[in-house]
Amino acid sequence: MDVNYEGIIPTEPEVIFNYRGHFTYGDTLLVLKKIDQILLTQRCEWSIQGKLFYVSMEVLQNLQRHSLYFGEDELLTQKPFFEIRKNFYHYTVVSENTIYTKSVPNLQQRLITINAADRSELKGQIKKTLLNDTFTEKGGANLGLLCMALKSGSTFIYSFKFMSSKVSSFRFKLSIPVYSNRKF
Amino acid sequence: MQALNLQGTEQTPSIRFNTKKSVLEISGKSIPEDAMAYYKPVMEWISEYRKEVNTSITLVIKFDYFDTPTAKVLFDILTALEKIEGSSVLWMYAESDQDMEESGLDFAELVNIPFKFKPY
Repeated sequence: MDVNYEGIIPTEPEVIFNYRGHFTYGDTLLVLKKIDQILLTQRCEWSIQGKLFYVSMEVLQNLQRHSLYFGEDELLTQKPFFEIRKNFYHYTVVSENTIYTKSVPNLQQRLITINAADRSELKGQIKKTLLNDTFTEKGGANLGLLCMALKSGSTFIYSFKFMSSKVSSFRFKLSIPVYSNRKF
Repeated sequence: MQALNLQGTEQTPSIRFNTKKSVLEISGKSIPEDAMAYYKPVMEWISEYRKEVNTSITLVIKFDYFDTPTAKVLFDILTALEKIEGSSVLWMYAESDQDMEESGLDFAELVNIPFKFKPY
């Protein structure tokens, strides 16, 4: 069950940060601190730094909450992965983690729905979630993907790789333009 | 009525109620490990305040950034404040942070409390 939708990056990207390993809450904070330091060295608008930090924060929290890792003995899973790349046009946040195969259809549908939504529809979905949803058992608010889509203004690029009836690999990419085109 | 004074950390905001000015201020960064647990004292305090005092509160929000679980809790706090008549929100944001301003505008649309916006 391979589903692949890849975008095209026009120039060769430079990796400005990457990490593969466990994502406990403490690990996430350390990684965010490192990202904060790196972003300060980037010559981009403050608003773009803010968006990139926000997306990184939400992606890392998703890795923390939703990654499966059964240890070195389990050949079918691998440690979660996070990376920030940059080319002339975009910063791209990339993540990869192992998830339960049974959760792929729901996740894929959610990604398709969010990608198809315009700004107003995304806000509507956020409002509906705030009004109706409670916290998940893992402490999430079911808002991360929606808010990333809204803040970045970009569509998700993702793929699932079937590994077994139990687990699949989920790869996720979100790009943020290096230069803002906001008028206000 | 117990005082409300939570010290902030690198990942959690400070939360203080100024009894003289009736101002509840939440400021700093908010990426707690468990947002529901961290903000539970605030929800309990508002509930108690409504029973015992019930005069209007100004909620001052001054986040550097906040994650989506915090957004959910903030919505719950605002919904609780709707029940205290005359309460209002002062949403502060860094002048260059259009996203934070927009977050405040989005919350203002969701709840029935007056919002003022102030860049710093």
